[in-house]
Amino acid sequence: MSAVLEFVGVSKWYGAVLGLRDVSVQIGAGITGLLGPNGAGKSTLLKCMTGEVRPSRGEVRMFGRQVPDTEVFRRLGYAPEIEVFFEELTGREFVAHLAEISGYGRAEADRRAGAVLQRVGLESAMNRRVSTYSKGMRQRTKLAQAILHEPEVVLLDEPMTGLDPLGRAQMVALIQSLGAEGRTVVVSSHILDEVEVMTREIVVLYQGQLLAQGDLHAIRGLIDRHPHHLAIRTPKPRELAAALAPEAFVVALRFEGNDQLMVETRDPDRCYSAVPRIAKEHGVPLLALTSPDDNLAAVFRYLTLGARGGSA
Amino acid sequence: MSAALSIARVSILRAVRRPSSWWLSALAFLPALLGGWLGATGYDALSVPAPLLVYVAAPLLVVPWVAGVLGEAFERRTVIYWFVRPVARPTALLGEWLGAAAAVGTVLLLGGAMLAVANALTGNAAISSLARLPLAMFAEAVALAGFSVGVAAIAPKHPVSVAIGALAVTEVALPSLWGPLQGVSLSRQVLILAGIDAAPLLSSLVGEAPTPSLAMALLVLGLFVAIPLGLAVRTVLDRDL
Repeated sequence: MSAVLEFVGVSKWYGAVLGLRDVSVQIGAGITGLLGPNGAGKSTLLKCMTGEVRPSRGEVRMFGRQVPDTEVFRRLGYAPEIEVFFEELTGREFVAHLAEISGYGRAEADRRAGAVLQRVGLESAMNRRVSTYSKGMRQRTKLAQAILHEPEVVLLDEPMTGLDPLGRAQMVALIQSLGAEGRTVVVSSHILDEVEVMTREIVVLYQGQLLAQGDLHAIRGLIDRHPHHLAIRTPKPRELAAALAPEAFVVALRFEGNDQLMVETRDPDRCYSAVPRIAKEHGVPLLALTSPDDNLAAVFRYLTLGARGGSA
Repeated sequence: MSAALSIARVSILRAVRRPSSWWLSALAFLPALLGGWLGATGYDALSVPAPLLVYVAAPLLVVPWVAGVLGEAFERRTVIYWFVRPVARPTALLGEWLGAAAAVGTVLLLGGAMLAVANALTGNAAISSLARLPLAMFAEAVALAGFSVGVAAIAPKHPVSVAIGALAVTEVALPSLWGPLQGVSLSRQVLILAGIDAAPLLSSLVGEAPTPSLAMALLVLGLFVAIPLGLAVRTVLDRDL
């Protein structure tokens, strides 16, 4: 992979609070998912790329040049996570203004603003004030201003936030089209499934550290080697525990309160399909079947424990 | 330079569309109304309204208009839309200053012009002297706009309080301590530019003020812009957003 973006031993402290710790990573062309739970350091990493914050230690390079750099900004598009714009302007005025700042004349800036807002699906709302925009429209406006100058690198901080399912699908298609055009696209998210539909190349951050980088499926395999938990609410937890205990996929069983059984398993897919069947066979009613691990924080916890050589 | 002009143009457009701008603009015209009423009832139309316009109305109009809005842009990080473009960060400050100076300058120029007209209509001034007060008000607006842009960039969390606090020091506290310190007062220099007798009320207590001079007035106005803007440029170049 030829690196467009490069972090070399980057650390960032906000006073006593650690933002990033000794992160070294290279990102090449195509779409890369930047994954991590809230507070993992994703936004700090993106801000280091845009020069919004300066590393306390280490270097960030883009196209071989140290950031921040005017030449880099010509080739960079950035959609920050903030939801606010210059609210008094219309979407078209806002994007055209930023096109002017990027160096285009007024007529060309206006033409580009119209074209890019059409591309992101805002053609009918582009002449309305931004203050009237919904969250989804704001996400599209942010994307529009980030790509109006056809940059080689596009950084998108949580671009799916606030989008409805249709909006998500359209945003995914837009991001995929940017990747297909050969651009380097970095998309941050705390939702694994969101990133999975866009790319297999991911960078995983947790508590300011680089936890993993590479193919998503390989990392998922790493995750799957660690035990998962399944919480089962039932009025007969002891009967269900007795029925599940002989099963090979069960690593451990634990009672929580009078009506909850916690199952630890290394084979969550099999566990999910077998539990309702076994419960039915033994006449045990199931009130709820949930997994506290179905969130990225748990995934990162597994990876962290794995990196330390521990077990979940 | 085109980036700065674009920012200035958008700054004016946003101000025109912001309801608060219109409410604040009313401040510039209240002294003229007062002047007209005083003139019509046989009193001097300038002696109270002019200092009111220069000392009170102008800062109360310009500081929230400029420092409040730009401070909010830093706090809410909307400035990032400018700062990830191929322009130097100080260019954004320059653009904001140009836009704000044009907008508040126009409002205060009109406010000063109305007061001058009210004064002339009541027979207290020659027509030839009509231009000085509006031009002085425009100069004050330009200086206060630069000062406010600088303060907003340096102290974006509480720009209005910091700016008003700083003005309280230069306009009230220091001149009240010692006569020669009347020279640091922006408002006093604006009154000198306007050709209005600016003898301080406290001169008998704190000593004589420096002799009025146009050069000194312009220098003070220049420093009011240069010092905060210079510090602001350093701040935005070095600071994380």
